Amino acid sequence: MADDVKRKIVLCSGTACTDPGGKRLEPELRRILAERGIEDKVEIEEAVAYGLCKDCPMIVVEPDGVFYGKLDAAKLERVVDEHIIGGKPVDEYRIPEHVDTSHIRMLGNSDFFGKQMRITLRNCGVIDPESFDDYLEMRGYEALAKVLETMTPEQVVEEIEQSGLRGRGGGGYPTGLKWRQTAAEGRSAPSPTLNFQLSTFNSKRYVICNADEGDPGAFMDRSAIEGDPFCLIEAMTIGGYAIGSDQGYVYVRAEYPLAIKRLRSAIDEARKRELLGKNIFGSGFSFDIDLKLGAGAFVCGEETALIASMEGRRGMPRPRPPYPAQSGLYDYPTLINNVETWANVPAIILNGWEWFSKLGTEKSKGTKVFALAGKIKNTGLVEVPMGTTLREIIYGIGGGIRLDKQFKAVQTGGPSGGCIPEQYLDTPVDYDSLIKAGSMMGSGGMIVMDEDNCMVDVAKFFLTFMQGESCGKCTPCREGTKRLLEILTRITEGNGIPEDLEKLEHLSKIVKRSSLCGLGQSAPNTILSTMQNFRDEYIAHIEAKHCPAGVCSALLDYIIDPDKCVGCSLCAKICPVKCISGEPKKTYLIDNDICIKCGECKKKCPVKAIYRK
Amino acid sequence: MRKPTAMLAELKRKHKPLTDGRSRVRVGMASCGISAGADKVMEEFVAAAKQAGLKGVDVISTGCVGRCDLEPMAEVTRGTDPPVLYIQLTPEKAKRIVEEHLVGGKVVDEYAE
Repeated sequence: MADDVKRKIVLCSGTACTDPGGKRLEPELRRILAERGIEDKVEIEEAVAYGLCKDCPMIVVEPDGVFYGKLDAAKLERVVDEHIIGGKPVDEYRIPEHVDTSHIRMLGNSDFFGKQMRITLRNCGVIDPESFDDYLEMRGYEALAKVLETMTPEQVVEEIEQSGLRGRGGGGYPTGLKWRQTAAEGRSAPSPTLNFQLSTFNSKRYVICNADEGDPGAFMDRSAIEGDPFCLIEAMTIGGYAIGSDQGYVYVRAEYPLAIKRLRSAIDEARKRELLGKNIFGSGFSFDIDLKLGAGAFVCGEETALIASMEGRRGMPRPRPPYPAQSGLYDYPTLINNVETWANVPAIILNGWEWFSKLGTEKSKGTKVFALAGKIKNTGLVEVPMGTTLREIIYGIGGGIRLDKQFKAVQTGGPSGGCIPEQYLDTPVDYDSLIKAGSMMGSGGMIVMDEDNCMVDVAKFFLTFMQGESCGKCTPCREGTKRLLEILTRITEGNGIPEDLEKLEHLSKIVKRSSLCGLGQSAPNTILSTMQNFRDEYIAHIEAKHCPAGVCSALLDYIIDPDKCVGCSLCAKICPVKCISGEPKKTYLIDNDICIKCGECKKKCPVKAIYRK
Repeated sequence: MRKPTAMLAELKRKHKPLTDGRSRVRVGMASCGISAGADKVMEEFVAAAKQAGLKGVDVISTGCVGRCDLEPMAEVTRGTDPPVLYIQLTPEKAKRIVEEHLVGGKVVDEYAE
């Protein structure tokens, strides 16, 4: 051996690598080692399946952590000669990024799955979420064992910090920094909070998982919990170790019954194996997790409102600072991360921060899950590296617009985000680029709109949601969203006046600037972005009293096509306001001044002679 | 004192491997799948396998793969054959898959992705 390193060869135990009829490497490897007389000096170990089946057959050389793929006998000989004996890795055969792509393997290489990179969703749809054994097989609990055996809490925080992971719940705050701040709190000088008496002690700390997923159209957190609950438990346990906490809570909405059931079952399984509770893995570290069910208020996704709700108070935000890291649950330092953020943690620990920081863009590392919805062919959850363009997500993975209609806009970030028009489709998706394009990452909802969507109506839809979810604590949000909604409603009903545009813009900016929490601060985003990018639609509604997309029913006229009408009189009979006149066997006529646009006549017409314009 | 990795290795020794050559039917049973009817499909897989007298078939539930419009979905692995993903299933389709694929060894192409 050229160097003194005692190397170990780890064989993959996946189906493809161990298939007796296939490319089993072990006999070859033993032969090659025996030929060189070093079979006693090199340890061979069979590991769990790596799931890198596109590169199979494969081996890993430890402790260097070098992954070799697509091997045969000749290549294996070279690896043994040059790396095991010579100490120099054979770069040509290395697998560049050893990401666990097992998921993609099982689902084929269609555009939808092949173009994704699944880290947080790696086990969803692959394992039985209620089976501890299945989770173990997917390298489950390896990260926790590694942390407890080889790392100090400080090293764990550093690993997360170095990885560049940012919060996936919407704000994009650096996760490692949050961990560091929470861990530092209460250890030395008193914090500038009301409760300095408590925090001057080396105090209790809490870990919370924010699973209060409220954006309309976003369901990645639900899927992640339903598909892989153990991952969340393992990640939170690692977080607890890193910041010195012994109690974690998952705040999950009660309308996710299946997620709650599976999470409960996973917590029970973990407790049974002493992976939650006292003295985890015999390390002396204790940590437990309980669930807190939320009643489904959107504002409770905001961290201070969430904590208020957990404490049994009304779910309303409070001004920050102090941040939860300083004074959170029961006034103790509290670490809150979103489900998707947590799901990245075991992968980072296992593969190292270097691996993670290579994924994504300069300031946004890793992957992001998006919930594709709206007028898109392939609806569903996709996970892509940060920096993938919107076009790639919508056309490459999503398959393009349904019925091959014309793309109009994509709404990202849920009701807090904005509508991005076609000219920004080549924007790489990361936290900062989306803000530049007038929207935001948010939790990752992505609603695609086509030519049939009216942008004023879209703005009204999202604002209706925000206005309804406003908690009412601060005036700008409580009153401002209400007034904004009134103006929008007026415009869509044909009663808009030219000054409305200016008023909308002015009021939007006030609400944005002066609201207490993220809800109010982001509520006018859809209005501002649609006004910026689709101003002509607003003008058409106000001046011509016309809805170009044909959505706002109050602005549409129902017309009977004289060429098609057979004079059956059914429309006149069903009309609730009797605005349709005519004689049987002749063309009927709708009086649009009286018409209330209920659409009953259109539904009833047997020859489809009635259309809207 | 035993180390965490040693304890993990022990847990792993006891566990039942995910890929052990048994035939498997994984039905996507997240909320999205269930609302599309995955629970009935899963019941039918179990019933049809029993009716066909199949032994060594595990019908298990799994999470969501992220393709809402193709639910309910199931991934069928017959012995050591490569897995096949079936989409937009109904109990009737499930029955046919059991009879033709799991018993007969012939992939039902028209239901596969």
